[in-house]
Amino acid sequence: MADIQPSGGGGKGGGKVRTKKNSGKPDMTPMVDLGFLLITFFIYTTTFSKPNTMSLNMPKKEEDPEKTEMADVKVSNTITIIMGKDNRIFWYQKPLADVTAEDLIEVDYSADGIRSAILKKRANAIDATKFTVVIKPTAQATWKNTVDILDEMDITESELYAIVDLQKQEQAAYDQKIGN
Amino acid sequence: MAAVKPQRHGPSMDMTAMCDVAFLILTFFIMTSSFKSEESVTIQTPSSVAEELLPEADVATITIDPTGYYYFGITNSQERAPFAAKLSEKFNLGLTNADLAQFSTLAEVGVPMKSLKQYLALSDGDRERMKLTGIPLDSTNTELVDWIDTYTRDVNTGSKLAIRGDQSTQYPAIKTLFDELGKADINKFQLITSKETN
Repeated sequence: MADIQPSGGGGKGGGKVRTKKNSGKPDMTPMVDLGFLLITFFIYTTTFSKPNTMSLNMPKKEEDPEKTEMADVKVSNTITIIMGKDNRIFWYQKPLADVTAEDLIEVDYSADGIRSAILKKRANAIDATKFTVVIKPTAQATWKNTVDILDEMDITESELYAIVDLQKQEQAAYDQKIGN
Repeated sequence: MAAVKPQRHGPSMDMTAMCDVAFLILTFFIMTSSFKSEESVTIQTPSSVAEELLPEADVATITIDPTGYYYFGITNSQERAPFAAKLSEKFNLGLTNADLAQFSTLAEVGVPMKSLKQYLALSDGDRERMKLTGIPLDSTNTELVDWIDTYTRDVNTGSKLAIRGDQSTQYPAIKTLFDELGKADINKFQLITSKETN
């Protein structure tokens, strides 16, 4: 049984070793130990193996994406983020046609980087409720970068955002920017 | 005179009831937990602040490994055999019942349809050693879309599509996936991430 044996107080009985009498009840303690050990194991493996997910809804495919893209969005109400290679990230706020390498401002993925840029631009937007973030990953961006940016959308509570491809003008500006 | 010594007992506790409870809970956990099926690739997912958990059933997972290969898997092992049967019927793969049973033990499959039968016939060791080439998906061959379509439209209509990419997967592989699925009018995704640790 699970009892604590009181220490005999220093060998009173002398040399005689008495065999303990078995009471007929098995000691359940190790069995309980084992049971709880296994329970702990199963609890850990079941709850910790569940990964998190974030939902992403892509827009329906349009027949002519160039035509519909950004049709009614004012430039000052948007920020465009370009994700480049080696975890580099740039943003700009300019009409698409006159983007040059000088307009791309390099930041990083930290809280003081892209997050504060988004928040600052949104605070200065004409209509903050329609502030749109345009996310443009280059071919060298990684999945981690994409998830990080989507995470920033969640953190900054930017509900309007779109993942689109780089246009020629931006690609040229980006190439020039990372070239130097 | 021989005085009768009262036998001394330490504080004792009857463990039987505790043992009963422990094993009852243990049985419950064994029965409710589902073991991870064999996975063919190791993926390190990026972390995010998202707190939603991935549902256990009704999910098909597309895995994209760092080299840009696609793998397809169904979370609920009960649905794997019907899916393989449907796929076999639709595309004349000629899978036998033994193949279907083998398919339902695999968490993920990363071979083109035409070599699926051959892949399932391999022994477990050979299958692990085999170099996978992923399910083809590009502008000329959109086989992965057929797999997904078969699952989401024929086997489980209420299912969700989860995307599990490695941290270092390059964006073009993901863009192709989104584009091709967009063409097939599948626009809702769950992105699998791990919990942010900072």
